[in-house]
Amino acid sequence: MPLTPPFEEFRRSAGEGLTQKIRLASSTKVSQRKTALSSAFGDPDSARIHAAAIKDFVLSNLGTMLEAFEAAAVRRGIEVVWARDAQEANEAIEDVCREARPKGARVVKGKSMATEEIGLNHHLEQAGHHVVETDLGEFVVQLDGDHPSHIVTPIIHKDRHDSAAAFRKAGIVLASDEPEAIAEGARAHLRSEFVAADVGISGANFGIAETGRIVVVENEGNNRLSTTAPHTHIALMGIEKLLPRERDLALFLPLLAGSATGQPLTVYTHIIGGPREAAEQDGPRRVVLVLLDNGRSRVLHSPERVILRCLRCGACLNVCPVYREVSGHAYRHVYPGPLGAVLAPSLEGVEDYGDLARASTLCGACQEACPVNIPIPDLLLGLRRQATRQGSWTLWRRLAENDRAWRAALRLVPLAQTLAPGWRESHARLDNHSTAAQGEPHGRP
Amino acid sequence: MDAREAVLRAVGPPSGGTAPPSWGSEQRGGIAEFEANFRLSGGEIVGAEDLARLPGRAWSRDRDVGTLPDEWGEYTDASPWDADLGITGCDALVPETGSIVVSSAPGRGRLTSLAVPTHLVWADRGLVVASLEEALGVLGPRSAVIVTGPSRSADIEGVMIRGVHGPRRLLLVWR
Ligand code: SF4
Repeated sequence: MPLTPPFEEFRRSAGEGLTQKIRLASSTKVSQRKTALSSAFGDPDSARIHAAAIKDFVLSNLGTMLEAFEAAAVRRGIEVVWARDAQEANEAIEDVCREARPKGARVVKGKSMATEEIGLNHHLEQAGHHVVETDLGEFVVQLDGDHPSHIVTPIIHKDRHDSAAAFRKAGIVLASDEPEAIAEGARAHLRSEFVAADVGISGANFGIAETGRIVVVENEGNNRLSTTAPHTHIALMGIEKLLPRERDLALFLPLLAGSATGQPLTVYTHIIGGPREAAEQDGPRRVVLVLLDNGRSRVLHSPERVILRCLRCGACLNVCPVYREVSGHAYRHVYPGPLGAVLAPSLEGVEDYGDLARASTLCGACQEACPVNIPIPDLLLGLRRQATRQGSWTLWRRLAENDRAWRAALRLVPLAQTLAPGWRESHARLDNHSTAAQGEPHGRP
Repeated sequence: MDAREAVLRAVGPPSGGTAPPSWGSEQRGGIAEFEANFRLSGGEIVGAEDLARLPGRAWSRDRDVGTLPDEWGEYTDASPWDADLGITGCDALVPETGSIVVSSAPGRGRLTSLAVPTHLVWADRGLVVASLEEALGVLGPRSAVIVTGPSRSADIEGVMIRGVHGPRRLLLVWR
């Protein structure tokens, strides 16, 4: 599903100011990540490799893990629904909303990439439900009718004045354009939504096979409010999100928080054990977990399998010289950056997204930053080969040949390479590949 | 074929083997490290004598908190949404991250630590555990939250803002 006009148009409208903003924000995040991970682990590389081994074990035994998780969750009173694709997931969620309030439920949402992936808001609104994004950045995106450009910091492409303008357009009064005033405006406006909501929807960062609990992490508290205050909580979780044991969180929580925002842990780690029991004073009466496949089982048996280790931390976006130049919208998919360059074509096919595999200099910085050590450059090379066979990377080839942004991206390569010892090998392979590809007839505009 | 069966079939048979061991944190913290990291996360440690100066009305239903001293101020029975201060006990304190574990044990309440502008944790020094891994063993049987500092966001231009939806201030008093 293309999200925005083609890259070059986007680039023209964005201008140099946007690029500056993203470069600055990204380099801050990169240095914070390094500090956080070395203070949490001493040797972050062995932690990343251990985390990768645990995720690989989960992927190799996904069927039994899912069954164990389901059984444990059901014992806790969580209703588990399986969805083959986006449509089934949307329909399942809509059913629960309708049960909560047949004439249109009031829905509050925490930030979730999986719900973006299935286009949930649109589906629910079409069905007559009232949906409000409650994460500050996602709320601005919703007010503006925009799309997130980063999986962790959705409005990295907007400044304070853009955000304030979105509030004013929606009739929400702000004291000023200062970030504090904007946050205060959101807090005041959204409180009544939390109190009035029938349904809260969240994603899930982890599901624990051993105990059937769901783990959601966040900084603002909106996700906790969404999953606590309304009568019904619905969580949407990709089938690959499982961990074997609760104690694995001792590794994964600091890895995720450190890689995403450079914190030792996110402010809130919400461990959801099911609907409220008689003795508990608050919490939802009904908890529904939707397990989403939507192409993941196919990726599991493809050469891109290990992309399913991904924790959605965004570190690979922050270090990527191409992402930093072009921002998230240029990738046309809900998952941008190096992660998206692999995930979009693997989930949706190289015919439509194979060109994204071009959106990389193969410098290796993404793998170096990845908390589960996903060999993104190797996966991109594989996808390029597939795309070349199918002649479908026109867009990024055009970019590579014409655009000043691409040249700017390439200028950053030596910098990124100093961070990534494995680059030389990848780069050598790229050179061979480029030479070999010159003879092929496709893709020249 | 229903969706469950279809997904499980598409996922395919397990390849077996045993899970790699859990990471096994080597961190062994204590009270001093907890206090330092709690402050770093943006928390404030206050003395019982400071509490009378906290503004507004307090809300608590927590048995661990017991009978709150009168001089702590005015209490409200309305709801945590209307309170200025939510008071809870806690289940564990994590030195390496400065985090507080609050379970949904009876009376503790999830909104008490969340819907209020200030969350006050009434804690016992004996609850400081050795590591995050140990804290994960005492989450209780139902739901729990691990709180690491006051609510925050950096969504607007990366500027750190305190108290977006959750509490702006996180206070801890040793009993
Ligand atoms: S691929 Fe790795 S670095 Fe990128 S978002 Fe996923 S876990 Fe993070």
